Parts: sequence; structure tokens; C-alpha cells
Amino acid sequence: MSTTQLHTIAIAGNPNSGKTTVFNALTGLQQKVGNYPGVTVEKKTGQMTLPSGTVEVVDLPGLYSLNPKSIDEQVAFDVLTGREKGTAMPDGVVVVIDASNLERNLFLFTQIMDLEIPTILALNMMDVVERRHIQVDLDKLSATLGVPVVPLIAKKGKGIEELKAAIQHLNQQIPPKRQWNLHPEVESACESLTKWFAEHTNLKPGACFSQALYILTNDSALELWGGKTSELRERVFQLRESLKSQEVNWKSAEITGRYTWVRGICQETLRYEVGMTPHKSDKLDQVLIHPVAGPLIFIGMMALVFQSIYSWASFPMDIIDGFFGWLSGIIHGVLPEGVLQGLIVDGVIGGVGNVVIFLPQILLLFFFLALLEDSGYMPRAALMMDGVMRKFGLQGKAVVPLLSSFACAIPGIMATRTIENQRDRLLTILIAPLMSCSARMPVYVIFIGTFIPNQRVLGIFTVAGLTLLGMYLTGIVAAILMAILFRKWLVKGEAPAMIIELPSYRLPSLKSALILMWVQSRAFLVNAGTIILTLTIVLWALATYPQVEQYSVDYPTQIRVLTDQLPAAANPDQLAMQIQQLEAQQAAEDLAHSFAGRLGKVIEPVIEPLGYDWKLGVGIIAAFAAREVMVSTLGTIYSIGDADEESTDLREHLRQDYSTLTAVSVMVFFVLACQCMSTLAVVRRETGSWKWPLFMFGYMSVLAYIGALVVYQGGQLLGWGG
Amino acid sequence: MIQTMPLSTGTTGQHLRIGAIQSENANDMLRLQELGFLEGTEVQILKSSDPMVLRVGETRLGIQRDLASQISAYRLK
Repeated sequence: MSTTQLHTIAIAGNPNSGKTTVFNALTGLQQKVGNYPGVTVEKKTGQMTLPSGTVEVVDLPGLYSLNPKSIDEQVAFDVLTGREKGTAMPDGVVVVIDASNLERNLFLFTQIMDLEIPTILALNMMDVVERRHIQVDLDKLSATLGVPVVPLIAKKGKGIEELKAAIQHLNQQIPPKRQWNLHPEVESACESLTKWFAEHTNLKPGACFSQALYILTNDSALELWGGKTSELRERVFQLRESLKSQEVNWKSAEITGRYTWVRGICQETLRYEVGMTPHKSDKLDQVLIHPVAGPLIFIGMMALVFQSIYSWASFPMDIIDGFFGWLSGIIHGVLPEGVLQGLIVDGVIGGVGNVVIFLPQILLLFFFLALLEDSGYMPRAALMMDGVMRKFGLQGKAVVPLLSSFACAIPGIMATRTIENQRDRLLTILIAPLMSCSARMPVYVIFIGTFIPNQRVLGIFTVAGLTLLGMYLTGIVAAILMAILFRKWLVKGEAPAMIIELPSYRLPSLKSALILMWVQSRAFLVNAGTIILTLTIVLWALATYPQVEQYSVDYPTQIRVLTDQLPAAANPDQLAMQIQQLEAQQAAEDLAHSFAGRLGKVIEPVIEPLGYDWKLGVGIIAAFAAREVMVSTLGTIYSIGDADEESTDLREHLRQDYSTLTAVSVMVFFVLACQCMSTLAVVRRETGSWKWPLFMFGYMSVLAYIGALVVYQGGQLLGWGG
Repeated sequence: MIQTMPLSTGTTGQHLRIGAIQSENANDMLRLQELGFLEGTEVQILKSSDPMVLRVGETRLGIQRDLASQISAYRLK
């Protein structure tokens, strides 16, 4: 009997087994989300306090199997066998099982059992079992499996204390051993491979057997573990060949063997008192996935989600905006004019503001996502949308993240976590920013308002409205084209065939939703926030340095003279206006002189074919911080103090300098370009490297340039240049 | 002699028994089997449109019609 200290435990279980609820109940708010190194698989860890000390809890991705066919399964296997870098090998495993679906859930348990790690079986959803009048013989189950069995109703917190007590004794447990049987021929084939792993790796005996079995029966596993050693490959092919000649079905041997054993156990431990009862969920599904009503309900729900991110979030966002504006005002008053003031007001406060402003949208989206996921509706939505999305090389689950991206790509990209398949997830992330988000709105508003006539078309439409619609459609069409393109050349291979479990409907838990909102928003603030803050400061510096040494007019002196006259002036309003004008002119000169201003002039020849001059160039550079900054930057360039999208002064200036064709070209550029460092920061976090955000920035920039070029040059050819 | 048919030709409400699975994609086949889709298992068709919805034991599964057409099934007597 070992008495080693318990440091780390892992939680494993099927999707929809209530695994996350158990994890939440054990760790509370002591959770961290991140990624396993180099892959887009979410790594969730937390801390649990036991009388004996603190234990690290690793929540593995939801799995049906450990036999690696996807990155999720591979990561889970690596964590459990201590091979995953940066994750301590767990001292024990809690396998969370949906008791109302014992047979299928025990399948995964048998795979974990093979690894010979101390294990607890957490039998969740005991309330459902009771409702369906199913009797589970817990003692017999525990005796047969050779592990402690703890009944749970995790959502109500029932059994959690007992589970904790069981976990405390995990390190004294004699690990379970494999009990199910393979076909004898497959068994002996497996033995020889097990020996190879025992000799060539330092894995534990159980893990060696599992690996041997998986490479024998599954090509993906062979690719993963045997791909590099031709000797091992050869041996596997020989063994398969010999099994085939003996007419042994080696492909299904593992699964058949496990299910045969599991079915026997279920027969002995389960008693259906009234036979199998029809589920209430089947009745609900007659409406919710009805060919006509289903999609309508889905669209209605998404409209609600979309509306809430789009408009309900605007109230708290205004408050946040107002707060940071107020704070800047105070600093303005306290600190003397100069570099330090600029750094703090425009760099730090502006940067923090750029981060915090997204919180309301993220919180709201994750609230809805938690409800959709928790209730069991999400797989149904994916089921209904799968056919449409598949035409573009995407899968059904991509629909919610993509629709959310119309509000804001940041929560949208975070929402791709619901897509288990890593390639599909990456593809969805790459095209999400092409959905026109709310930050593009101010740019659309000012250019459409300035250049596009509000003429009525077909009675109910206006040219302006249709132009706006056109911008949204441009983004959607581009996204579809890019998805098809990427699927062909980048994220190759077809999306895996849809096989999706439709879990029973359940009342979603508010607590789970709140925990998800807390954990996700904290992760956003910490990880993406630091990147966004840094970039904001860099952009501030670009727009500030080098400073002007000699203004064309001595603004500082003139402003001071006028300000001194102000208290005694006969016409203070006029004087104040004059001061404002001088300040605006000074700001314009500052900007023109800065790196950003010079950069604008440097890139002028490049953007000229798009119909832009250096001023729009500066606006585009500044808009990299956040798209809506374009408008205020143009205001600065045109010496109009604080300009927003409603500013008539700014519109007047724009009308003088640019043609309608240029305006459309600018808007198309904004539809297609990835001018949002917050998005790039989030993609960096979600994909775990700078490779994908840089690729995204690159491809979208090229797309934007080509799009704007085609519009402007094409328009000129057609004679719309005026 | 048992009459087999592709699972995809089943109608809503029908109870069938699974015969051979001949998916050209080995991973799809493994994934189905791991979910309890084994030869000889009884399934019920809850929805015969595309995607199909099937009951296997206590599990409800949505699967693409394409995939269902690669699975043979026969009527329960």
C-alpha cells in the first residue's frame, strides 16, 4: 500500500456526463483556463482543498474514448500517462459517469482502468436514474469494477462531500486492472507489441498495453506513435496481416471486447422496474428539431443572443467608456501637460479601456453559451445547421461562434471552444473576423452618411441602407470563399462525418453559467489584456513621437495668451472657440510629424491605387488599435477636436477630399481587414502561438487590399470615379 | 434468409438491428462503434431526415445520412 502524497488528480468523462459540474463543485472559483502547449485544446485546471492539503485538479476534455483519433483524445491519453509536458502525471482519476446511460459511459472507464491508475467512479445523474425507475446495485458495481463507486447528483451538490472523502483515500488504493478479454489471437498480437513499448519507453505496464492495443487497431494511433519507427510499423502490419489470414476482425476487437464485458456488468447491476421508458426529450425534440419549426426557433434564439450582445451590452459599455473618459479628465487636470500625461491618458488608460470595454459582450455571450450548452440545446443547433455549414467546409457547431462574431469577433472566437475538432475550430477562428462586428459600424456610418444618398429604392429601402447591407454581405461572402479555400489548401481534409450525441434536455444551472463567465472573462483580462495594453502603448508612442520642435505657428504661446485673456474677456465663447481651433491645429501638426503620420505618407504610394491619400493611411494605421479609432483619428488630422461619426465638420472635410468611390473602397477595406489587435491577441491565446494571428493578419490585409483595389480601379474603369 | 438494407432507408419509428458497417473512413467507423454501434445492436430511428436521429441503448445520436448509408441493418422480428 503506497502512502505517497496526493498532488494531482484528473477528471475524465463523456461529454454531457456532468463532468464540468463535478469539476466546478470540487474547485469552485479556483480555476484556470489555458491551452495545452502547441494545440488548441483547452486546458482547465483548478485547486481543491482537502484536510490533507491542496490538490491540483485537471479537467480533461470531454471524451467518448481514449483511443486517439483526435487531438483531444491524444492529449487526454498523454495527460493520464504522464507524457504531456507541463502537466504533472495524475496520482488518480475520477471518472464521471452518466448513470442513466451506464453502458456507453462505462466504455471509457474500461480504457482508463487499463492504465492501472487509482480510480474512482463518480456515478452522476442519480436523480434521472430514479425518475426512470432504474435500480443500480452500487455494491455489486464497485466489487465487479474493483474501484470505489460514489453516487452523485452533482447539480444539487449531493454526494460531493462523499466524493471528496473518497478522493482523499485515492493514494491508498490498489489500482484497478484490466478485466475484459480480447480475442485470444489479438491478445497475443498485442502482447508482443506491449513488450516493444516496455523496452523502448518508460511508460507504466498498463500504458504500454493500451498503446500496443491502439496502434494495432487504429491507424491514427499508429501514425502518432509508430509513424517514426519503421520497425514498429512493419511489425504492426505483419501482425494485422496474420490476424486477417486467420479471419480475425482486429479492427473491432477492442471495442467488441470492452462492450461484451460492460454489457454483462450492466445486466447484473441494473434493474429496469418498468422497462425502458420513453424520454421526455424525445417529445421536446419533435418541436425543437422539427424540420420547419426547429430552424425558426434556433434563428429566434440567436436573434435574442445577437441582440443582447449588440444592444444590451452597449449600456454597460457606455458606462465603462464614460468612466475611463472621466478618469482621463481627472489625470489631465492633475498631471502637467506633456509626455507623462500622454502616456498615462492615451497609452495606459486608453489601453486598459480597450480591454475592459469588451467585458460586457464577453460576459453576456458566455452566459448564453452556458445556457445553450448546459440545457442540451447546442448539439441540436449543430445538428440542424450542419448541412448548410458543411457545404462551406465548416461544421454545424461553427454557427454560433460565427453569428456571435457579428457583434464582436472576440467573444465569437472564444466561443469556438465548443468545437471539439481542432481543424474545424481553427478554420472557424480564421474566418470569424470577416463577420462585420459592431466596431465597424462607426466607420460605415460616417462614410455612408457622408457619401451615399438617402434615396428611396423600391419603396421601403434606401441606397444608404442597401450599402450597409452590402458591407455585411461582402464579409459573409468573403468568409465563405476563404473557408472553402482554407479547407482545400490549409486545413486539409474533409470535416469528419457528423456523429453527434443528443443528450437529454436539462434545466441549465445558473451557478455553472456564472462560473464560466467568471473564468473566461478573467482569462481574457489577464492573457489578452496584457497584449492589448502593450500594443495600445506602442501605437500611442507611434502617434506621439517624434515630437514637433518647431510648429508652423507658435501654438503653445498663442494658446497661453488667449487662455490668460479668458477670465476678463468680453466674448468668452468666441475666445474659447479660438483656443479649441488652435489646439486642434496643433494636434494635427503633431500627428503629421509623428511616426504614424510619416508612415501614412510612406505608404501613400501603396494605397494610392485604392484611392487613398496619406490622411486615410494614418487613419488605417491608427485603426489597427481598434477600428472605431479611425473616426477620431481623421478628426485629429482635419483639426476638428473631438470628432465622432455624427460630426458634420468631419463630413464636410471628407466630402471635399474624397469621392464616393473612395468611400466605398475604404468601407470594403474595413470589412475585410483585420484591424483589431484585441482579436489578434485572443487568437494568439486560443491557438497558443503567434503563427495563426500573424497569418490571419496577413491574409486579411491582402484580402482587404485586393478588395479595395478592385472596387476603386473597377469603379474608375466603369466611369464612377467622379 | 435475413433481408439487409442500408440503415439510411429506414423510416421514422422503425426498430432495426445493426449488421455490418462498411465505412471507408476507419475513424468514423471506430467512433460509431465506441458509441455502442456494434453489429447485432438494436437501434430505433427517431428521425429519418438528414441528419438522421437514432436511439442506440440510452443514447440519442445524430448522424449524417451519408454515413448511415454505409451501415447495413435488418428488421427485427
